[in-house]
Amino acid sequence: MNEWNIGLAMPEWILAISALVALFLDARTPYHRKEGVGNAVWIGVIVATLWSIMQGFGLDGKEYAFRGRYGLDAFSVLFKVIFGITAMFVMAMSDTWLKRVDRGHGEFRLLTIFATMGMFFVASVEDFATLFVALELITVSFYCLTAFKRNDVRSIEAGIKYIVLGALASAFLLLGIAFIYGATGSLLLRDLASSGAADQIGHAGGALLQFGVLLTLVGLGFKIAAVPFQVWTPDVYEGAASPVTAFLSMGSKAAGFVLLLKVVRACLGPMADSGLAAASSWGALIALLAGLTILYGNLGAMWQGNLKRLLGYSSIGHAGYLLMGVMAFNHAGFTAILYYLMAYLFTVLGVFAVVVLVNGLTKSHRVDDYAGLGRTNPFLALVLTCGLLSLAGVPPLAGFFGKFLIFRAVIAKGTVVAYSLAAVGSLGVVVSMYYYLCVVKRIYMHEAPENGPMKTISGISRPMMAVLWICLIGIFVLGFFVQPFMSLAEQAASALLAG
Amino acid sequence: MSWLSIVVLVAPLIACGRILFMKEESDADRDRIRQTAIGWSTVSLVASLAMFLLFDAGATERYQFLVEIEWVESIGLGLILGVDGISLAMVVLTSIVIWTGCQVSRSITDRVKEHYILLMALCVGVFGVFLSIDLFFFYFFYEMAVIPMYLLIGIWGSRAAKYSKEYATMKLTLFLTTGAVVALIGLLAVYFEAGRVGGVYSFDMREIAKVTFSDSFQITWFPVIFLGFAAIVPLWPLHSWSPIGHAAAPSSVSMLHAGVLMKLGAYAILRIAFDSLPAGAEHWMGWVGLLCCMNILYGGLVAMAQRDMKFIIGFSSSSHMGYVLLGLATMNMLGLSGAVFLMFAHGIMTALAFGLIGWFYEQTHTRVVDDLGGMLKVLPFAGTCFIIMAMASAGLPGFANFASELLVILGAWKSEFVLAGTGMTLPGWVPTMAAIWGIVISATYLLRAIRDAWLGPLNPRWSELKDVTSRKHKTPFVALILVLAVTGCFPSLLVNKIKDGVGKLRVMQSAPVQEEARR
Repeated sequence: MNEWNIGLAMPEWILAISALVALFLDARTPYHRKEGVGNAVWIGVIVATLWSIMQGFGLDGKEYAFRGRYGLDAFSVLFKVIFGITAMFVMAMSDTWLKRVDRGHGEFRLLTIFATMGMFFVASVEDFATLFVALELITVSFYCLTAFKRNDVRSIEAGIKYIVLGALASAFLLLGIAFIYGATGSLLLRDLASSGAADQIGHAGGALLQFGVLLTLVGLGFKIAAVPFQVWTPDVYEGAASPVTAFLSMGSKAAGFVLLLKVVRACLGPMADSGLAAASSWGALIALLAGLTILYGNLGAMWQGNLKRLLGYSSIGHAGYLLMGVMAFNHAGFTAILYYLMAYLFTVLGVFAVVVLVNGLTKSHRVDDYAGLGRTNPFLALVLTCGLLSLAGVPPLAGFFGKFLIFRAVIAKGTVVAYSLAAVGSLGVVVSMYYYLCVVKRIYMHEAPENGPMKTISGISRPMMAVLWICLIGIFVLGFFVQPFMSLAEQAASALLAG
Repeated sequence: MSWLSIVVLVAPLIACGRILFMKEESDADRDRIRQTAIGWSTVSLVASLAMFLLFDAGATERYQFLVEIEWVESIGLGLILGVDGISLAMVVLTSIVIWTGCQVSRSITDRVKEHYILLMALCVGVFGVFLSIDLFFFYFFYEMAVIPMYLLIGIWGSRAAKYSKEYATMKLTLFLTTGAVVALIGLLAVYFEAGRVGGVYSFDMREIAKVTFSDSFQITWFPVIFLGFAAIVPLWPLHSWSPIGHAAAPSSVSMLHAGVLMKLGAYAILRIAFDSLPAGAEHWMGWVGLLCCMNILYGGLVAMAQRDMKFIIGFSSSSHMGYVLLGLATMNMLGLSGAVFLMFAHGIMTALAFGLIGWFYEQTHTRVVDDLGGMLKVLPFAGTCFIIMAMASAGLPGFANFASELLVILGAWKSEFVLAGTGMTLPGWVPTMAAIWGIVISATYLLRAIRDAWLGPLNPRWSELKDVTSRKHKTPFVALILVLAVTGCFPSLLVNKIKDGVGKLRVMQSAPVQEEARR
């Protein structure tokens, strides 16, 4: 455990090297010829992801590197693969999107790979210092990415909102880490789990620690867009370029949940097993946040006329469902979260892929401008519809099984809090069904206006086509052939619980 | 022969996949798509009829044609298919309605491919519900049926009086989803309680049926599951989505919806709520005995005031589903088997009604009875079918509806309805009177509809209409009438099998003791 063992972090090394190569290439080429940068980034992400998969096959228990500050288990491997796939899909989308932008191609790709590297590190975080650095690597990259369309006022506004609130959240997180360090004298997550911190947290003496954990949750709550730290979401989602929004809604959210799970496991996890009184009050707090998040996201989304804003609100709602799984606090809950995120990967990226393509044609994100998509582009309409219905949780699509597992984990608690949370969750399902179906209605039941911009989209690039197909198939496979993915999620959840 | 249940379920799925890869450019292509759908629905029909013939009513095991496939082992989830007497009747009903529905929707010419893909997906869902013996897959298929219906009504439907088809379909979808999610919470509670009490966490209904739940658990959770599924029956006052939905849907979907989908709710109550929570059912069903009188009378009276044919049949459906609920509320052999038989009979009857209405709506573009008149002169075949349908619906002896309603009424007369929480008891004759008046009311509105639309002087606007002439157009209507008449004249064909299923419900196994206690 006290060895450097730097070979273990090979995926991160690969990403770092390819990022440096890309940086070098970017400095050496004129602004309209950035293919080299793109290739370096693509190769880096693909190799890193494959390497992670290979590591997953050879993995035995948990291994450490950098003197115990970096860990690799089934949980981190699963997330590295998820982040790798997310990055690839996002890069395919940004290749399509960048054709409409005349400058900044190199920077865009560089920022993408830096954020990806941050996510890979997040999956292996073992102490609070690494956690903070990895998280900042992601967040700072996203500050630039959201404000990337510098001629667009909304993009700039989104960037400023994100940077101000993000900096605030980081400050909270840092303060929380300081309090935790003050209370326990260690930055290592596993020290927290084993040093009896859990016992302390239940007693008055643990006030310092409790306060620290609370502040940490504030910082992470911002990342995952949970109420009451959600206000930035719709504006940033609307203002940022669509591939960035896709990256934000999947990559950044998943990274937030990875950290949340790790922190919750370290600080509160053992407590749930020992059944201390404090566990129920933390559980109730998370349940309250989850319920409010679900209601805010879903009720807010009902009134949106802009598809990206709608997806922003709905992503708040999904954070709420994921928090329901955190509230369950056990193996079933963690499994459910992991499955939900796997399903969310294909679902939400499929939706954004269509958004990117349609936006290129109509130059608009208004829901009304999707009218007639079913007739002009049947395949895109199919992908978008399946994606939205999967978000709503309709069988046999991926989102359904995720939601089912979440509800199952919560109801297993059998307490009044759990049942009320399930009731709120089911209300959210019905509301979300309404606004997703409103979009589906535009797609199939309304006709495109005469002389409107809606027509058949041709010349979809190969990678983009691959993204659409993989997402569509993924949505069905994860919804029906559940067993292999379920066992992946179960293994990862066991690894997380084992610490 | 257990593969038969797979054939029934998979045939529409194959049709779905097949049609997905067919092209739709000319009329010949469209015909080919239709033929594919009809062909695979015939496969389902033949398989389900074979199941019906091979089903052994006296067998000791409860489910026949069992297929078990392990799905997710760690949470006790398996794809388990099979039928008992109750679901057998429903599977046969579904396959008949779908087979005729596919033929009736020949008239759809816009986006034929999408239409049949969605119709077949809907069939997979409905068959899945009736065949599943696993709670998870039961719910899975149930939810799966909702979305194709949303699109089918929204795209190919028509305006229903003052409501747009989009409003109608959204209302329907939201009602059904709400019901389903509420029921899901109840189902999961039952799953975990079964695990806690019985030690095995499993979604297998046969495992859950072995567990005896505490009375307080049953009394708390029965209403949750019941109300979740009652929204789809639909129980008054949760019915408001249903007539609008019927009226807005294209004819094949109305047929499937009124004929089969409404039965999903009652079936789910029988199969899950009654079987796993018998004491809860015993406790609460008295109230249902009271509410279903509202269904019968209110639905019937509203139907009287309607002028749109589809609304008349729509409200009459919610009135007839009141009889089904009354049958469930009696909790005795007569009432329960009557209810299941009525589900079958009503399914066939409404399918016939909506098929006919849809057929002449395509020609006249109106369903309002005041615009019609004397139609029998130009449409003798369709009119005769309609009159036969109306007679069956009004409970004329010789049709299945009569036999089944009689069973329900006899069952209701024999039982009494304890209104839990008030200490009052509703004697059996009260709902019986409501049910009998309900028959009078339904005869009234049906005869009035016949008088206004089919008899009297011919409105000259319609003198050019053409009757159903070709054999392929006549087939579905004739087939449905034959089924009604055959099961009406020889009810024991079906009732024997239904009785076998009902007798094996847990509610029935504890019933004799309670009946003795009452005396």
